[in-house]
Amino acid sequence: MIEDEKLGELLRSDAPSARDAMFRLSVLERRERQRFQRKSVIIAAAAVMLALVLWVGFASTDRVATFLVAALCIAFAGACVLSVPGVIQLVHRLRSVLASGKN
Amino acid sequence: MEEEDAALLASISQGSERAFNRLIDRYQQAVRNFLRGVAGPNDADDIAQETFLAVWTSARSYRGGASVKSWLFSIAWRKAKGAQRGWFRRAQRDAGWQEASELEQKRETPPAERLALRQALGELSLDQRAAVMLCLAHGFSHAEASEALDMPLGTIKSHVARGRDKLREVLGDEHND
Repeated sequence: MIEDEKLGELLRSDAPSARDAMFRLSVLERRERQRFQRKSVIIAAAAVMLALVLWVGFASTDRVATFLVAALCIAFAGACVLSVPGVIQLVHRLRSVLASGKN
Repeated sequence: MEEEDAALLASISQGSERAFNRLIDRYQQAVRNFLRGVAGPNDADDIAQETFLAVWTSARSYRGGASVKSWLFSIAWRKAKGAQRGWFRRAQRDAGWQEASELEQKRETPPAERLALRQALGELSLDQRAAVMLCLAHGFSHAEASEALDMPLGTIKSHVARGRDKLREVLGDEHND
């Protein structure tokens, strides 16, 4: 009969080393990759919206309307670039609120 | 220790890289070992990485009801179950188990006990493996395991008892040979 202690030892015999910098680096690398992907998606979405607005604006024959749309596009693009970290934080917060709601 | 873990989580929720690194260093061995027993050696590290990423993104959702350790293992368990559901990953994992065993056999002659243990673990259900790994290998009480695995206390007791019997049966034969 194998004692619980011996069984526990056997089950732990497959454990990796207590200090494993490579594993930690893999986690951090994966996190950065995720961040980059999120940022890319947000920037791509902003670019698509910008292109749409530009297309609608320049299709117009009215010069004032065209100028206003162009100014709006530039302001919007600037806001997108500046607010990426804020948007990511907002998404994180929403996710944690939703997760805590589930719990 | 428990207070220190809670403080680490609080710092992580504020975006502290240092606290995140410390938490990984503190628990990576236990989480990876648990996942090796539950999901097999091939998927374990992948799921463990996902687990720590989930800790980074949802540290704010920790309410302090359960211990940090239980909370961490509950995330690992949910991730392992999620991975189990995908049929493609299941097929990959099965191939991975075989591949890993073959590689290990080629690299060195593995201790007979370890091979027998893997075989015995493979004969248990996923839930039984998880309960056995937490209670026998990582010193969780039945109540803590019940919290981490989100199973009733009676179910945990029965899983541990049956799992222990099965392991003893297989490993006992090995010891007698």
